[in-house]
Amino acid sequence: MTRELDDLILRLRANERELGTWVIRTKGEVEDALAFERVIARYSGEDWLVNEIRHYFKRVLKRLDVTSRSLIALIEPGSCFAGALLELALACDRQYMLDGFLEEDSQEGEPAQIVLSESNFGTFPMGNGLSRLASRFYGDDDHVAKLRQETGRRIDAAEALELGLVTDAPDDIDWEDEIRILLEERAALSPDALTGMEANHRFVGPETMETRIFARLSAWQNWIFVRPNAAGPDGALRRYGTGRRADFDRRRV
Amino acid sequence: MSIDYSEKIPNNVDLAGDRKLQRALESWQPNFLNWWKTMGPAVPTEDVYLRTAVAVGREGWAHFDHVPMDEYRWGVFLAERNTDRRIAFGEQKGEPVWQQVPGEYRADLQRLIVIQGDTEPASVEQQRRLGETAPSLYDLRNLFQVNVEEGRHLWAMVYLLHAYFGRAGREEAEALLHRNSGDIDSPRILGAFNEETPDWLSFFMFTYFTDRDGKYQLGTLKESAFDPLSRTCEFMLKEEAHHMFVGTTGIDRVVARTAELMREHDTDDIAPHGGIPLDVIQKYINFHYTVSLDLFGSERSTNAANYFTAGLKGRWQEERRKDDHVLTEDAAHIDVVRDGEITTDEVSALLALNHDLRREYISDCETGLKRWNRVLEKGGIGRRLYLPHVGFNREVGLFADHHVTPKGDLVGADVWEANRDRWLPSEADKTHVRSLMRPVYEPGKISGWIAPPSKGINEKPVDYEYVHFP
Ligand SMILES: [Fe+2]
Ligand SMILES: [Fe+2]
Repeated sequence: MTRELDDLILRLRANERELGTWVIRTKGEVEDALAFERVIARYSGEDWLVNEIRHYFKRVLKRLDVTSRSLIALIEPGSCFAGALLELALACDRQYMLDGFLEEDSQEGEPAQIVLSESNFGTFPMGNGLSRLASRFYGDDDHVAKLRQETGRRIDAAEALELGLVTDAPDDIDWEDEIRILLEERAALSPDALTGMEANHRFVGPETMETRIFARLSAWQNWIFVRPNAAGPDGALRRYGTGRRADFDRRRV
Repeated sequence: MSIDYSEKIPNNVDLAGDRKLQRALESWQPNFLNWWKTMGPAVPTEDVYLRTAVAVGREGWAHFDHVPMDEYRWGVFLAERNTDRRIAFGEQKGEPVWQQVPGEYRADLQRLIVIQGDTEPASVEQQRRLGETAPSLYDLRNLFQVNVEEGRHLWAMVYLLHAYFGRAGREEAEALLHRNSGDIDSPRILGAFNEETPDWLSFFMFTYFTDRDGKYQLGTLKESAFDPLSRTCEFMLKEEAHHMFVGTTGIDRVVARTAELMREHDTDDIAPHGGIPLDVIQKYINFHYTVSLDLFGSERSTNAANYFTAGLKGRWQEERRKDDHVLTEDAAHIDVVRDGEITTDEVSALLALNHDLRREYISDCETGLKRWNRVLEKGGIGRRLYLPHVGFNREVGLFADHHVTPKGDLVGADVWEANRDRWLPSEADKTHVRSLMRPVYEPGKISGWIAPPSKGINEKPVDYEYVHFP
């Protein structure tokens, strides 16, 4: 799975530059996902292959962190955002979790659930040296500690929202429209401005060699303003106040 | 599609086929009724001779009957859908119109709908106590007709918010009932809608000048590329025509009575004879016309330009205009004050769209003045009413920082203050008008300050019992 995901990320990044928004979903049994990571945790100290797989997954997640695309996680019934796989959602800019079922779907099985595990507290650090949860709740160690006590149990949409683990948890009434509009809204903004904004939001806290390269606010700001999408003849700055819309080059850099 | 009256909420949008939406609107309905009972007309009535929409087509769309007001069938009615309709202007001109809100414009469209929606219940609140001083049952009935239809316009906007804007839309729909005209903590959005309508002359002026602003705003939204909004506004305009009628003929009748009293007593000062002097009518025109001009926003506006380019809001009768409907290469002139003089500036036509709409509105307002002056002429009175200069008494736009007389002269603050009571209703004028406001509830009878209507409603006689009291 890790190899396929890595491959997909690179292909999309290199070949599909106008696809500015990626939607990440998972599908499978939560228990299976957690069982896999128990194997990894148990053997990564003694088995070189298992160890390599763990590091490989860490690097793929980091690749997502530095991907200049809007990343949206959709957490729906039948998904398996648990432990290590929950990191995929946490690597996204936004997480939407369906509260309950869609009316038109079969209402069998469980509604969407997520599970925290040890993997979410430092096994797969970001470029700033922090876990994704520690980045998300930077400066609020108490909350991270509180989340640690929630490991291993299934968390439903309303609770995930309350714990700050997802951006929003629309129910059946709003889900479809909310997601469509969100994706369209995002896609309409300047691709460069999004790239800069996302890079800044993804990395917080301590500066490391990696974040010096990928996450410096001032550098991104300067970059956004000199890009043709801002300063060019059809760019947002030149068109501002004229009543005409900027014409963006949709290719992500 | 015909209007389904068997449902809890009458509609022609197949609400029964969309259970989610139906549930959402049905849970808003009791809150609306509660608002109507607490903020709607204050005079208790048994029933009122009202029209109710029964179809949206050209012919015979309304049904008239005596109904208890809180049992009025408020509902959701959209004009027929034209399946070939295309965007008539802006960057996406020629493309099919939208049946859904494009994510890119969600925030802007929601804002436009909320602002329009906020004015509808606001006017009901402003007119809440007017029934206590109605000059006749005919007028009382017209007031209530306007009120129930403004209530329906609120429904129209709430339908759009519920159907197309998700949770945020539902929250805005709630807020429309929680803001109240003149409330210190949560007032209505636009300033003009927080002033009480204190007397019937103000009411007629309001329906003539301020409702007419509403008509022009609806006219621009009717052009919208967002088709459900367009169809909603198209049908609202049909109802709005009656509101204009109430204002136009109301002022007709005040002017006619004033002329009559002036002749009868051979004096301009008819106040002692229980009439409204022509000067006072002029001052009310000056006031209501200019606060309505403010509602069009600043002459030069990037927001209006952006809305046009995006296809959200067109021009008045966009499709009848003979230009490219994109306007990126066109210029327009707007008034400016420079070096102590009123002159004009050339700007991009896109930036002058508020000015364009206001110009259409002004020429429409002039037809009323012509009409009232004909009444004066027929009454043998030599004096005439007029619209003041567009820069007079403005608080929004390019004239806001200047003092302009009704004739259009720039003057200093001292001159303005010294003459204010000659140009705008003074305390004494308002007190006099208020003193005339005594209810006449007897069928066929009318107050002394206004002439009777020339005919009744829906072929009924003028002395018909339009309103029953408990
Ligand atoms: Fe209205
Ligand atoms: Fe109206």
